[in-house]
Amino acid sequence: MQLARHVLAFCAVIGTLAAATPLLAADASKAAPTKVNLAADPNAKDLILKGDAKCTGCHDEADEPTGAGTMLELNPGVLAIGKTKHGVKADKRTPTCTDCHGDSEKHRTHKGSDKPPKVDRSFRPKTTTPADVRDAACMSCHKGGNRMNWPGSQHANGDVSCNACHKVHSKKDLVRDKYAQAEVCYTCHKDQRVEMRKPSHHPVNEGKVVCSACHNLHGSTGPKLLIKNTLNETCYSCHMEKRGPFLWEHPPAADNCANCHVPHGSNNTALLKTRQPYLCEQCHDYTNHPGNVYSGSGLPPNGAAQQMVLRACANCHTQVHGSNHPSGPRFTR
Amino acid sequence: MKTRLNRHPVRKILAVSISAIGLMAAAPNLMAQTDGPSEEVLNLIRPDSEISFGVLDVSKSSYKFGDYTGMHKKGAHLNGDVRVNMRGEGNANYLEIDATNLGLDSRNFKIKGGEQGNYGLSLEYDEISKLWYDSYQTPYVNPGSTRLDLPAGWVASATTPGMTQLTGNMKSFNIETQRKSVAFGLTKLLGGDWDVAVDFKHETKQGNRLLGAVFGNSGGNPRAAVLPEPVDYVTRQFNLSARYTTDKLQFQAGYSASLFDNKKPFLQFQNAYTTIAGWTAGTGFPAYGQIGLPPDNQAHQLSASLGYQLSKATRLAGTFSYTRLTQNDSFLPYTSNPVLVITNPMPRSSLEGKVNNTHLDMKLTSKLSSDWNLVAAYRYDDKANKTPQSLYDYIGGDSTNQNVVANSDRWRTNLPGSSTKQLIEVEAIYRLSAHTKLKFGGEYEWAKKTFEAVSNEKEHTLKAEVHHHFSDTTAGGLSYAWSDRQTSDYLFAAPFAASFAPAYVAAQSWDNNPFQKKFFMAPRTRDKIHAFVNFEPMEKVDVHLGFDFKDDNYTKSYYGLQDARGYGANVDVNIAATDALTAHVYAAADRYTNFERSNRLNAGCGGGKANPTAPGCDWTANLSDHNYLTGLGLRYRPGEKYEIGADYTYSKSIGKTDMWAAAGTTGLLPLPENTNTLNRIDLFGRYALQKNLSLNVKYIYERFQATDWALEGLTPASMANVIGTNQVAPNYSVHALGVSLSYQFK
Repeated sequence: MQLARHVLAFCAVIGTLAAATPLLAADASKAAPTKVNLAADPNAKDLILKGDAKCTGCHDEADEPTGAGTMLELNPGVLAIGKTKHGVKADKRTPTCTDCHGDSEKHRTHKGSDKPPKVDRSFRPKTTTPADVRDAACMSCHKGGNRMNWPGSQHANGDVSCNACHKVHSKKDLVRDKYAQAEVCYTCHKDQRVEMRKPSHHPVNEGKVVCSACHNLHGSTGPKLLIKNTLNETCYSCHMEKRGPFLWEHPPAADNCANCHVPHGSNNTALLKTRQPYLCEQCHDYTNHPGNVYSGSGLPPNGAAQQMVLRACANCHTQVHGSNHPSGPRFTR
Repeated sequence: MKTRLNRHPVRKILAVSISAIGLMAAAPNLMAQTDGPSEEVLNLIRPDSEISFGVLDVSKSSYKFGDYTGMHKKGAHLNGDVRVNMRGEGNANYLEIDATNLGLDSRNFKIKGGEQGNYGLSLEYDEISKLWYDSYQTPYVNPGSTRLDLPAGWVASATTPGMTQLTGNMKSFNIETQRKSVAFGLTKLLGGDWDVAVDFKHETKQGNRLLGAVFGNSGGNPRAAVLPEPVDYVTRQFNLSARYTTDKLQFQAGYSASLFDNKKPFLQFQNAYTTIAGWTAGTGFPAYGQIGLPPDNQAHQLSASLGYQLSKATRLAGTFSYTRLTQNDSFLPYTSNPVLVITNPMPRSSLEGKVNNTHLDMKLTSKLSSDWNLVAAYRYDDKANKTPQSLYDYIGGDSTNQNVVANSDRWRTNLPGSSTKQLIEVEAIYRLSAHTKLKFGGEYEWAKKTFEAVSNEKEHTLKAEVHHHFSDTTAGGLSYAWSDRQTSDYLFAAPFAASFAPAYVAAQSWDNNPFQKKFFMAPRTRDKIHAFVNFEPMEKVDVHLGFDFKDDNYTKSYYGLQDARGYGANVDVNIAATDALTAHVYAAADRYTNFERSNRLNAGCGGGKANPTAPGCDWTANLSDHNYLTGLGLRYRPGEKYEIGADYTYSKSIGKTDMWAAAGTTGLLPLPENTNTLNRIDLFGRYALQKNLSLNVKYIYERFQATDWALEGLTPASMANVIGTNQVAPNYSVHALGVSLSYQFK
């Protein structure tokens, strides 16, 4: 019933916003677009980058979002690139417009007020430029290092091009900001958004851990785009106290942290997949310590089974990641 | 009005920031005005800087609300953010300062500078607070120390109800840890397509966690207390890499070192219980026990990576790394209690633990034609555990004399497991048309392990995927993967036989139910489905629908995990109503279930060692977690004068446990659900008082309600053999209001 209420509320919100959209847009569209001659100003000087005058002759300070709906509004705020590292002309490596967008002669030399031909390499949301062609523009400079494994990586194979996450013309590239990166990733990875809201979670939404702290989004040698060779090695980057080696190893912990934990979020404490004692009983049914069926009879006021309340198994078996104590083979020391 | 401010770090950070800004302003060649673009254009192309300072008032103290954010204390907090982004005019010098939450325990400060295209320096300071529990209580008088004492006049007892001084001596002690790190980085472009990078990070983690401190032997006569474990870690990480980058060839060689030091290697705690049957005299109150805390360890890694363009269409990349992991802390004694008799000394004084990891991966990618792409990959990961094995005659929980008989279960040999894992993967991508892309792939993974019930594992995976653009505004995809893992014969007694003394093994033959398979090495089939649709029902409205399904089926496990299944569905709507108004609405639901089966091994139900599959002792548990999330966000920015926004988040998670037991099982009662419900509203507004000065207002309301049957109704003496903690599940409503002024400059 409660779920139904939330679904109805959700639909009501969607419907309201969708109905309001034409009304809100109405004012913006009232002003008729002004027809302008879109040929680049032949007298224009470079604004940011060497040789950018052939582009900024049109895409100049007037190219700001006004809601007028002209062609220029499709590429608002291109000058903001000047605020970024891509706008540092003194760095000899800095590309100019045509280095990324292609020579685009037909677009540059177009005369008249109708829509000009597309640039050779477009990075707009509905571009027809293939992802690998767009990526090639970026990879012409940004190859090697963390991007060495980009070709053939999960994102590359999924046509998630560089500009799907990076906004080069924006003064702030959100995917490179600790507090904003997760929302960029949630664009596609919706299930991780759910998981980060669970009671036990890595502090991604709080801005203290970012997706790229564990994943190399550009491709990696490890599984699931992890930054290290294995999952455990990735976890040990921050949780070195679990690394050991220990005198008494707990095999599932040494094998793979994900045997017991989920990395993003969980309803159970300490990011456990399943709560104790049931998690432990999936593997342990000892003659001297059998796997009993722990039910409501072990809870107050019926009882208080130490195997299921408070820390459950870990009330005694606390060193579940391994013990270096000579008397610790049962992880109690 | 209360204020809370850790003044000294904030003052230092502010001083550095202001000094840096002052230097920048004084350096004429850095920010000199030149003839050129108009003021309007300069505003559009010059980097922006902003400093914000204000006050954040929190209505109520709550660990859960302030977890990771630093907003856990009631009262007013001075707070500030700094974002400075400066560049030289006519040169590539730059200076960036990014400081967030300077007044809170989640503060972060980063400064970067250098000459772009030549060198860069960075320095970062960061704090992370993990606030575990603010409802924990303990009768020990000095929580947080490494030797925990009971109060004067303590009345020990064999069980907690007899501890007459227990309830009256319970005192609160907050359980939290805080990480503080300083990281330094340097990059330098050398000539000839080479560059080097070095970074170093030093982190301290201090505070407390909880652990279970037991006397006695598990499965027999344990007596325990849940105590604060002191945490005092220092970790240091160092990375050095040299890179060579050309269009055709990229090469990287690197060295990494990771060092972990624990300043508090053990915890001693006084026994609250009297000596009970099975314990040696003199081990009960007021004796002490001792538990080992994580030992120091180090990891050193050499690595080399290569990427080579064999042709325009074909690329080969690979990485090789060798890691040595060591641990050699001195052992604690078998027991810290001097009354206990040690006949057999320890075989060695430290572990001399050593693990060598060798990793190799190679990937070949090729664009075979305009329609076909191929990826082939191989991965090799070898963990060679060189830790020596020895035979230990251990003492259970500081409670008994050493058992020296040959068939005792206290003789144990450590099992330093090794493994070799290899993977081959092939994926073909075919563009059926301009609108349709197909992917077919397969993986074969095989592994060898030591000291486990299985020595070999093999897993085959087949996958298929289709992406299709139905129109300019509609696209969708569907993928399916199937995996089948098989293992060598499950030798259930192999780890037992390897670890216990031969005489004990001969007498017992096994200790864990032979018909139970550990899921992480059990045969298993896996199905994964992912489907999505993106469409635009009208202009400026994007809708995304997604669905995920995963099912792990442990077909050959008579006991143990039988099935693990997950479903997830989500819908996202983005509305760019105008340039000024955007909205975002989303909803998601998922459900994860674990179904397991086991046996009580009890003679009372006809079971036990002689009959480990007695039907009368069977039971199952079906654990499910249901999660629901909805959210709504609005942003309205009609111009430069002001901006407002709102976000609402609702999250609910429900944990259910359904039990079944064979007929005749007594005392089976249903378990209540565990729920967590979050309602959160975030409002913000920004108003330009004048050209470079803005007023910011931020409001947060968060209501969190949780139930947890593992905590509810428990008193310190509810469990006869474990001292309770009076912990409760978090429940709070907190308002936080922040007002700040921002000054923008270039």
